Amino acid sequence: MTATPVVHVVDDDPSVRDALLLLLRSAGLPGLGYASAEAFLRDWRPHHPACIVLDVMMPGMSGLDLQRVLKDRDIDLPVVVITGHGDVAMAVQALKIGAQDFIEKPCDEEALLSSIRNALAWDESRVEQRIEMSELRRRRATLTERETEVMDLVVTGLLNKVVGARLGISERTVEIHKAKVMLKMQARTLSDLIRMSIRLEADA
Amino acid sequence: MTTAGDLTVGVPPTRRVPVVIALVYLVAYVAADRATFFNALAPYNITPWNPPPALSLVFVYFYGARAWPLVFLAVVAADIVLRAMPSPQSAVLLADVALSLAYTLAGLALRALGVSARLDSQRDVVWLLLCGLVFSALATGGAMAAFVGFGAVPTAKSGTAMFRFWVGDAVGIMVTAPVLMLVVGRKWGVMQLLRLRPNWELVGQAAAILLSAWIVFHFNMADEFRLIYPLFIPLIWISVSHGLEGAAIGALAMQVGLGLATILAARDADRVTELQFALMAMTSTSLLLGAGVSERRRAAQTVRSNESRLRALFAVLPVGIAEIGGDGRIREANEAMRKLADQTSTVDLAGRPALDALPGLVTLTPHQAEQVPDDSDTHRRWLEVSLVPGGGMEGDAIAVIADITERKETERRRRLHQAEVAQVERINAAGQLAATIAHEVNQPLTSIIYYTRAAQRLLETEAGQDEGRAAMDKAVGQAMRAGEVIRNLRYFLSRGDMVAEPVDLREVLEMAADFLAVDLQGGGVECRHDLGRAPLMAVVDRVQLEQVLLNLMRNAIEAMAGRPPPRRLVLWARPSDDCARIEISDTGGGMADNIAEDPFKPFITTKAAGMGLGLSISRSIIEAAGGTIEVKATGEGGTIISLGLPLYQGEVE
Repeated sequence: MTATPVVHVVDDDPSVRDALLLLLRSAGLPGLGYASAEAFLRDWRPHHPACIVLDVMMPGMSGLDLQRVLKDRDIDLPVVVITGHGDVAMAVQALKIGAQDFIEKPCDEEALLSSIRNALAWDESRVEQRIEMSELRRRRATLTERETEVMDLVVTGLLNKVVGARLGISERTVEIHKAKVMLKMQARTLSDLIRMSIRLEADA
Repeated sequence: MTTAGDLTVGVPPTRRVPVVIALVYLVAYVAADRATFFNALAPYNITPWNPPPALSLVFVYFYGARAWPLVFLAVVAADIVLRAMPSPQSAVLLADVALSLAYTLAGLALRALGVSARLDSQRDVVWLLLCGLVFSALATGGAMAAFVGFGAVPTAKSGTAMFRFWVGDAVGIMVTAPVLMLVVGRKWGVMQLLRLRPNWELVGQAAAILLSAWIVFHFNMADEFRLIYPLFIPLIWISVSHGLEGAAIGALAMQVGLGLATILAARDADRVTELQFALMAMTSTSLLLGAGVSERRRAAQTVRSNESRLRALFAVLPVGIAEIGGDGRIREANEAMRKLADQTSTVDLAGRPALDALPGLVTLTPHQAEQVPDDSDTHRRWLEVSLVPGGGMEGDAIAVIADITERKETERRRRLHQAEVAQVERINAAGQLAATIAHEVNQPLTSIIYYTRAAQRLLETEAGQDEGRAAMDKAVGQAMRAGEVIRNLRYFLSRGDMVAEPVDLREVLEMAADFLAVDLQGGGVECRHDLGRAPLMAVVDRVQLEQVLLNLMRNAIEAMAGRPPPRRLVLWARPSDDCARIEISDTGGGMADNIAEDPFKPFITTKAAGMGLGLSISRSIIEAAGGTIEVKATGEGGTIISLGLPLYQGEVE
């Protein structure tokens, strides 16, 4: 893990909140507690990786309301919803609005902790991907104009000779450029380079 | 005789005299005076028959005291037009004042006595005749005094003159006023007279009058008026067959006839006065008789129409009615009863023993609205049977029977429906209660699981020993909380085991506030106590009251959660008269509309997990203790709950 995760616990019942935060801490997961959806919207700070553990039934703004607000504001945090026992309808709704998972209360720790870990992992993987992408973009930015031309053609599967003919340079020169590209992009094989190129294209 | 448009009943209201009517009156007065100015004690208007006073009397009767100037004007006008104002003029003028005053008073007296313009009763006729006699005596007495005073009439002759004067005026009123009253008071116009078709009886009556008159004037010339008495016969005949109207017209006709006859026969004035005196007696008799006959006829008419109304009702009522004789046999039954008894005709029921023939009737003892099942071969129905004493003869009874099967069925369905609704409500309540319990118990159970699991992990590490044990303690605390939930529910649900005793309400309030200290702190709510210095005692079950206060205060704290400050809970307690008052107010933004409508209505709530029973149960508890509970909005966007309990004023240990 690249950074310490944070679990946002939103629950109106003070003892449930307190107990859950303690459990998370004992499992090595730091958490922050909020007494209401409004309190969360007011007090939370962006951090990655993170997730929200949300009690659906709360006075004032309900858990589902909060989910909708997060969506409206483009706050892309994975949400684990806690519902009352047997409240399947509510759980289904929560999932529809984009909850990562739902847990029925009361529940044992394992189900809850694994669900929270999955949510954090998902958030974290997104974080890592984002870091990788920016690295790839940085590396590509170091290429010269000719090198970029060569890379774009090579990754389409053309032979060096054909690439040389297209660019009006010799096969030998193509080979030198290609080796430089592999070095700068830190690609060990051609297939590595092709994967990088695809990701960059998708990102563009 | 009642006709449409005939609105005058009782004494008519007076109005201003229309000019046309005033002119008609004046002309009629002078004309009537002229027509009857015979056998006068010349040169004055002292005649054997003098109808003008009747005109004045009826005129005043309809137009009231304001008519007097016209009455006076008429008398003076007649004297000027007909007699060229004979001298001594002051005597005549004075006499005219007396005459007009007396007849004005006569008209007012009729009003005051409540004589109906329609002369509906014998009483009206009696008063009319009496007023005629008395006020004509006053009028002629006054006038005569004026004549004698000015020497116009010699004192020696004044007695005879006065008598003639009085008889002439009195008979004029008696004969003319009834007809005038009938014509004006009943709008009894010419049309109605024309409608009186000639028949043999009328012809006979006219012939009888003529024959009697002929007898009177033809025979016994020496003492001719002794034979006037045969005239009674046709008058009485007319009165009996035509009532008051006939009597009035008959008397007038008789007077006109006699008048013409005396003029033609050129009789001596004193003799004519004697004749007129006899006519007075005849007129009075026939008018009274006629009024009596009319009255009896109206009564009979009323009875007939009442009876036909009752007959129609009897026939058409949807309830079975039967008249039962003293021998227990049916005398008569209506259509509805025929149907109830399954007979083809109401005649078939007559004469049969009521107990056999009438369904549902089991006894001839009077009874009221008894509901009797009638399960015979042909019917399965419910009857409501009454038997009331009454009917045409002693010992008769009326049976009233109605088929109430439908009503019974409707009632049964309604009861059934109510029972179903109650059942559904109970099931709903039970479901809601289960949901509440599930939620209330779920919360501490969840906390317990988290705390224990956390403790397990913490206790495995060296550093986590203290924190792990603390977590276990917290788990125990949560288990206690679950227990409290269950206990509260038990208190809420059971009404038994109450111990009502004098309790200091301030103490209970403070205990409840202490109990909620954590919630208050957690919700950032400031709690103010304003409970006074003296104990505030009421007889209640302490535990129940505490439940109520906890419930109300929790509501308040929840209402304020997440709201901007100030979040303030105020507890107030004071005695007021013989009432111990508690008020709990918050700054929680007031009630939602669906709650404010009826805060105590069960199963209405704004809480996602609430049952909406808190206030409802609180009210039951407070009312069971003889108290009241009210929920209002405070001025500053909060809610105030006001409790009143009977103040305990006994000894406090």
